[in-house]
This record gives sequence, structure tokens and C-alpha cells, in this order.
Amino acid sequence: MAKPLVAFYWCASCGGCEESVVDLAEDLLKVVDAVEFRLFPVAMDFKYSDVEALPDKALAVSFINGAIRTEEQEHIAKLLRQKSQLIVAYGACAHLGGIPGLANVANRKEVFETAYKNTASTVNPKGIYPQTVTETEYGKLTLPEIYDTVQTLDQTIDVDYYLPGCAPPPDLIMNAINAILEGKLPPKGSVLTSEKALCETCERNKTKPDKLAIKDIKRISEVKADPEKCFLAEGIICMGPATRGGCGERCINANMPCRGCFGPTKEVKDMGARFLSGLASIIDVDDEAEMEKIAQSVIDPIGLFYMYSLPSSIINRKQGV
Amino acid sequence: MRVLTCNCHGLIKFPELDLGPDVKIEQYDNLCKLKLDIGADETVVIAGCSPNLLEGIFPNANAEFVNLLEHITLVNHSPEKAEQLIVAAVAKMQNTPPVKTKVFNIKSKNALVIGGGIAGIEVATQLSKNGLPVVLIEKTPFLGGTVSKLDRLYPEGTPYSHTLMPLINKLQTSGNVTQFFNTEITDVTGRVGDYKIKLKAKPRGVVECINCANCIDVCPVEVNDAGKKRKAIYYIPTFPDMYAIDFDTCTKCGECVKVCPGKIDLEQKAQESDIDSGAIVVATGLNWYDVSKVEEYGYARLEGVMKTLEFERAVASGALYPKKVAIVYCAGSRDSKHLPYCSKICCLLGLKEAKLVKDRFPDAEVYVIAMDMRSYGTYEYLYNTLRDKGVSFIKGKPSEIHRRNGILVVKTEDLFTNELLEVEVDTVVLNSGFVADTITFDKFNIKLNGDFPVLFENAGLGNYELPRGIFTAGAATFPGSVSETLIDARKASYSALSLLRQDKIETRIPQAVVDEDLCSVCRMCIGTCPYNAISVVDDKIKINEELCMGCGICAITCPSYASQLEGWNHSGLYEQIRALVKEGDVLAIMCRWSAYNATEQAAHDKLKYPENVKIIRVPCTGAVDPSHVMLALRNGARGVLIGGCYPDACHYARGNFRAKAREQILRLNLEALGMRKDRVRLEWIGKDEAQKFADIVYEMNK
Repeated sequence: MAKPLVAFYWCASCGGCEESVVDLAEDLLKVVDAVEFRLFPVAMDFKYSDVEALPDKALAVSFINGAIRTEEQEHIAKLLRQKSQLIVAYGACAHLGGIPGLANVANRKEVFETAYKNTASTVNPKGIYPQTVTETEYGKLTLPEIYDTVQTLDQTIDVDYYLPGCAPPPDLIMNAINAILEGKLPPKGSVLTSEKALCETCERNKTKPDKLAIKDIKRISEVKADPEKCFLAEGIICMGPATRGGCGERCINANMPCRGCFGPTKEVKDMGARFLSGLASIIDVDDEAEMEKIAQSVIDPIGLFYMYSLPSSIINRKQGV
Repeated sequence: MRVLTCNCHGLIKFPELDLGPDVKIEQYDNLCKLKLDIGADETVVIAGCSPNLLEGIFPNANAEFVNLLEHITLVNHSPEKAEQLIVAAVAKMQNTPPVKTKVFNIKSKNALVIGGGIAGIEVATQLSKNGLPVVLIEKTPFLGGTVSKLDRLYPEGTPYSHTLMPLINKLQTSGNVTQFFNTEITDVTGRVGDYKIKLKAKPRGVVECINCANCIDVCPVEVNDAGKKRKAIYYIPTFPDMYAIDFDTCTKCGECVKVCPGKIDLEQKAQESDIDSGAIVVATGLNWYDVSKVEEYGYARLEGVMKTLEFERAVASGALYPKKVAIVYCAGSRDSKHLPYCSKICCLLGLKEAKLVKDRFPDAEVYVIAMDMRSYGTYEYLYNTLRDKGVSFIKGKPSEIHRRNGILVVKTEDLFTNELLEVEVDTVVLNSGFVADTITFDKFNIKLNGDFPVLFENAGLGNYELPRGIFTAGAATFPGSVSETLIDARKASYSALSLLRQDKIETRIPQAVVDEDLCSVCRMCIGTCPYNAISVVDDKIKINEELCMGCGICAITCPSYASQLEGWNHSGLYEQIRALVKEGDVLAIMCRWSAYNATEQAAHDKLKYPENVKIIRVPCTGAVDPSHVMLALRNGARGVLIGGCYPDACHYARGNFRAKAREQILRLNLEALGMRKDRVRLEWIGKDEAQKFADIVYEMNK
């Protein structure tokens, strides 16, 4: 029997999702045995024209990581949708927008100014920014357009499944691949991990007092966190209660609070607003002035509450820019 | 789904409505006069006049009310807006499952009354007279409680026997009352209508008795019982008419057995029994505040410094002949280090003790040292009487009491004369406040406000919609005079009686429900519940149906929407706001108890406010979801106004504070997203503050 054809593509991402494939270790050999790649830019030399040449739906599955922020990414995502039976949004950036999605607190102009001019390490006296078309003596050079607003994969194309995480952990990747190979897939639209928030499996949940009440909000960088105790109970912001579990508590085990890379549970449309609501609710202060003071101690609310999910949230970008 | 519209006798002009094939529109012109049947599983939209009125007519309907009269007709807003409000209400109810009916069967008609003081006696008598079987339990060997320890009652100084004896006699002849003495509750399970209670009766020691009193002649153990001497075997002339042994002090020497062979059993065993009961009245009374904690007053350190009860009993029994007495008021009361509250009756107790001295020893000098004299109501006569009798009143709070050359010296300021005084006396009476006897409160989940139950646990204010079948009576509710205590006991009797007369209670009040498939047991909700209704049972979050009042605070706390308030689930409100809010609107999310009423009042005050102000009604500001605010803004809302009750006046205790904290952090979020933070405002708007409402929405429209 012919092996199923697979694409593994990257959009606006860091390359960590590619690393996660390597993290499969010995299991990677099983995967390579079971499937045949048709696009895998980081590892194999296929051309876009190879994919274009395939009949529609010829690919069994395309794993697409990264957010969508360029013309090229949008084009290839749409091409892969056309050529694939299944699309899996692979990793937090494709799923929710991810870290690149934080660019939505600015626009393209501001991003260019920062990246190509204002940073201390940049030398650009002529103030040259990327252009979609540049005339040179050798002819016309083109670059894909970079968009003002970073999008999630499912804001660009129809997505069948989501493999969450920054990056997805090996066990969830193997579960997903096995489910696809065996045709034992959950309902379309499922996020291929736990339906419950991280606290369910977090060891530290046991140390949480029944009545969670905090009088101040601390940043993890300011305190020495007790490696046994629930972060939230100590006043350290931990997105665990608002974030799907299944990650293996990798951050928690490294004594770092959860920052939400697995995204919200299924009913939640705005992860940041939902967590913010819960966090505010456990502030045990009735004095308005005091409350305002505590609220003000939340530094960088977008970076905290929407670290991975800004493009997927109800208001997905900064307004007025 | 049905949309019931009422044009209020032609007053309301309706738009032409087309809500699609799934929605049936019924038009009426006087819905309030019709007894329309709305099914328990049906969800409807009712568009007409005020929901405050229509809810009374359709109390069990799963309905979203659209107030066309006050939000459209009387404020001259357009039929298009009316249509938008109805469409949004339909969107909400199409995504809102019906509220579950909760049934509480009243399986047991027994009433359990805890406490054999005057309140418990009165409740037991009233219930028994009305045909209910009653179990009355008392932790001591005798009925009578605090009153049986007193010499006299204020204001006149009548002996307690005037009051207590008739009450006890009525109880004994009232019918079906089973009495347990020396008895405590060891376990309580069950719920309203079906409580199972385990009782444990400690031994009385005396098995049979003819009250010959020979035993006290031989008992070698002398006990000081709050200022009055007695033996370890003793009798209080209330009920039952037999002696008892105080095993806390008895040495089991056996002398009493020798004079009364066969009728006293020093090795008697405790007896356990199980009872069932449909309703419980907690009449466990009060305790004096432990005044030794007020160290500067020297109680237990200085001889001659006494508590009111000790003083009263010592004077009455002839053990004390004071010549100069200082009665120190508020000893440990209205004091942040001790009891922060006023116990209400102690001012009168102090006057009673002053009168006791003056009645018995007219030449004795009496100084009453008080910050304030709260002789409320007609008790002012008692105060005036004592002034006439020559009692000296000093306005002040003593700083210290010490002994000098054998004399007690009370150091105090006198705020009338602005002098520092040293009052020299032989006896000091520390007039302290009271705390409830909380011995059973935990077992019955009675919440405290300070040292007494919060007011809505009070018998007279019991939650009839969702009764727990637990009522407090008498001084367990709050200290009162004998007559006030009896009145409170009657209230509790009425509440228990009206509950037990029913065979079952059905309620449809919305409550929080938890979806176990979504709940991670993160426990963030538990502490936010104002009613302690949330707990972890078998590693799952459990909402206690008897305690949940339906505020929705936990639902908005839950980061997974695992907890949802029936009738107000997140997806229903999401769809309502999505359908309702258009570019440039101001969305007003109003608390049903306060701000919503102000929006109605605006119509009757003939106030004008802009057409683009869209009002929706929620149970509490604490049930307003920041996500929904974000949604309104995404839809183009110019602003979102959340209106609720003033601080401390929240119907659900602390919902508005939760809302305030969420608003504060949400505003930071808005600023970070490039929006003006005042596009979201949480405002306190009282029910009559229509002008304030109008002013705010005008401001938000600028």
C-alpha cells in the first residue's frame, strides 16, 4: 500500500516546532517509515511547484506551524488546504497566533522601524525597509508582503485539528500521528490534548488553599518561587487555570508558571479576558483605592494574559494603529 | 421558541417582526392579566413592560424580558431599536438552556429545637401547639438557659420566675414535645426536609428524685456557679423537677449514694439516639464576652472586679454587700481589639444592676461609667429613674483599674467635665458584651457576621425561595431583651411551621452548575462565593444547592466556563451582545437590583438619553463577563457601562467588589490595546438615580 503523503510547513514561527519533530527521537524513524513527505522546507528539498503539481487532496495531512503574517504564508497555507485531506495547526502560533502574534500591538510600520532601524544592533543609515518590489540593475526583485495584522491559521484557512503547545510535546505529536494513521480521529475542530485546564494534573494544585485569596500580584522575576507551592496562591501569575493541560507541566517542573501556550479550554473565546476575570476575582480586597493599586501592579497585561493568544482573541490587535 | 409581546393596551407600538421560521410571535394587549402557561422546559422572550412586574406574573418562566415600555415607548426611542432588543433577546434565549426545577421533599415533619432557654422553649411550644412533633434538646441538665441564672429582668426588675415559669408550664402541656437534657449533637447529615441527627445525652447521675435535698447536705464539693455557691449535686427550680450531678466537678466520693441508695448512679452511661427532622431551629443563646481579655480592667486578677452576672447573683444571694460600686460599660465592646460591635442590651443590663444595688442598699454609691448610654426606646425611663435615685453617670471609658490601699481605683476621663477622675470603690462591675454560643453553628453551616449569624439567617428574614430549613431564634440571632427574644422565637416558629406544613418545595431559582467535563478543580471559584456554597467533594467541585443564591460570581471567575449560572450562561449572553451592539452604541449592562431600576425610572422621570444606549439586565455586576465587554467593543461599541449597587450594598454581598477588580484590570488591558480606558466604566447607580444614569450615558456618548 502506498504510504500517505505528508507536508510539514512553517509560517511565522521560530523553528521550535521543527525541533519538536527531532524531539520524537526513535519514534521519528517510525514516522518516516510510515509516511512519505512532499514538503518539509527545513529538512528536505521540495519545491512549491512539487506541491502545486499534486492533485487536490493528494496529501493525507499537512502540519502547518507558525502564524500567518505574509503573503507567501497565506498563499502556501491556501495551497496546502487545496492539496490536503487534513490540516493540522501545529503549535501555538498556528493555533492561536503565538509569540509572533504579539506584533499585533503594533502595525507593520512600527515593526519595521523597530526591526530595521531602532534596535541598537541595527545599522541602517539610509533607512531602507523591506519592499515588495525592488528594481535593480539585474531586474525586478520581489518579496512577499508583510501584513499589518498577524493571523492564526484558522483565520486564513479551514483547519481540521490543532496540536497545541510551544512547541507541541512528543507524546501529543505521536498520539496525533497515530490517530491519523489509524483513522481514529476525534470530531473536527478538536484540540488534540486534554479538555481540562492544567490545574487538573498539576502537582502543585494540591498545595493550593481552598480559598484562594491574594493581596498582591508578583512577577516571577521578582521572587524566589517555592518549588512546591501553587504559584497563584503565592500571588504569582500562572495561567494554568485558564490553559488546557496535557503539556506534561514542563514549565511548572522547571519552576516557571504557566504562560498559556496550550490555549484556552473549548468554551472560551478570549483566553486573556477569561483569565483576567478569574485573577481579579481572587484579589481579596474591598477597598477601591487599594484594588486600583493592586491592578496597577499588573505590568504588561497583553504580554501576560495574551502571550500566545492575541490574534485569536475577541479584540485581536491594538486599536488605532 | 415563542416571543410573547404585549402592547400594554395599545400604549406600545410594535415594529413588524420577522424572526425566522423557528420563532413564533404571539401578540397580546394585556399579558399581565392573562394566566398564560409557559412550560418548564420552554424558553421564551417576553417583550412588554418592566421585568420587575412580569417576573411576578411569570415567576417560573425561562424568559428574557425586553422592556419596551420604559426603554422604548416612554423615552421615544425608535421601533428599530425595539426590534434590535427583541432580536438580541431571542439570540440569547436560543443559546440558553432552561433552568432546572429543584425539588426538596419534606420527608420529616419533626422539628428539632436546639436550646432550652426562653427562645427554644417558646419555639417548641408554638410548633407543638400547632400539631408538629418537636424534639427539644438542652445541653445542661435543666431548662431555662441564661434567664434561669438571672435574679431579675429589666426594666422593672421583676424576678425571672414571672416569665420563665409560665413559659415552661406552657411547654409541658403543649402536646408532643420530646425533651433531651445534658444533650449534644454529634452529627448532622441531610438537607431541608430530611435531616438525620445523632444525639448524645451525657449522664445526669440522678435516676429518680423526690427533691428532698438530703444529698446536698453530704456533698463535699462546693462550686462557684457564676457568683452563686452550690454543690456538685444541685437543682435549679425550672424543669425537670429533679437533681443532677455536675460531673465536671464531682469527685465520685459516693456520699450522696449513701443517703439516697438506688436512685443515684455515678457510673451511668451516655445515651445515644438518632432522630430525623425536617426543620431545625437553633436557639443556642449567648455567652458573655471573656472580659479577662481586657487586661487593664483586672478581671480575675483583682478581687472585687466582677462580671455583671456574677455581681447580680452574688448580691441577690446575699453573698455581697457593696457600698461603693462602679459599673464600667462597654468593657471590651465597640473596641477593635475585642468586640467591634454593640451588643445592644448591655446598657440596660448595667442599669438593671444599678437598680439592683439601689433597691437593696439605697445608701450605696453607684457610678455608671459609660461612653454612651443606649437606653433605646422606652428604656429611657429606666435611665431617668436611676438618675433620680442618685446614680452618678460619668461619660468616659476607663483606662485602667487597680487596687490602692485596699480600695479599687477606676481611672477614667469624664467627658462632661473634661477632667481625669479616679473613682474609688469596693466593687467594680464589668459590663461586657456578648457573643453567640456557636457550638452548633458549624454543623449547620450558619455563617457569621462578627460573632453572630449574618442577618439573612435570621428567622424573620429566611430565604423562602430556597429554605435550608435552618432558622436561628432568640439570642442566637442577636442579644435582645426577654420580650425581643420571645418575638424572635415566634418569627422562627412561623418560618419553621410554614416550611413543615408543605410536602415538598419546588423552586426554579437560577443556580450555578458545574460541568465536570470542563472543570479542572483549580478552585479559583471557591473563595469568591459569598455564601460558602462551593466546596470540593470527592475531588470534584460541588455547588451546595441549599446555599447558592444565583449571583453568578463563580461563573465569571471560572477560567474554563465550567461553572455557569442557569439562565445566564456565557454563550447566551455572548450571542445577545453580538446581535445587539452596533457601531457607535453604548452598551449598558445593568444590575437588576439597582442600576436597571434607574433606567426604568429615567422613563418615568421623563429624562432623555440617546437612542444608541442599549440596556441589558444581569443578576449582579459580579456576573458581568470581561469577555462580553470585549465583544461589545469589538462590535464597535463606543462604551460599555456596567451599573450596580454601591459598595457594601451589593445584593450578593461582594459581587460589586469582584466587578470592580475585574474592571480595574480590564481597563489596563484596554489601554494596552490602544483604547481609552474610560470606554469601560463600572458605576454605582442606585435605583432612583435615573439622572445619574442619563448623565453617564451622555458622557460616554461624547
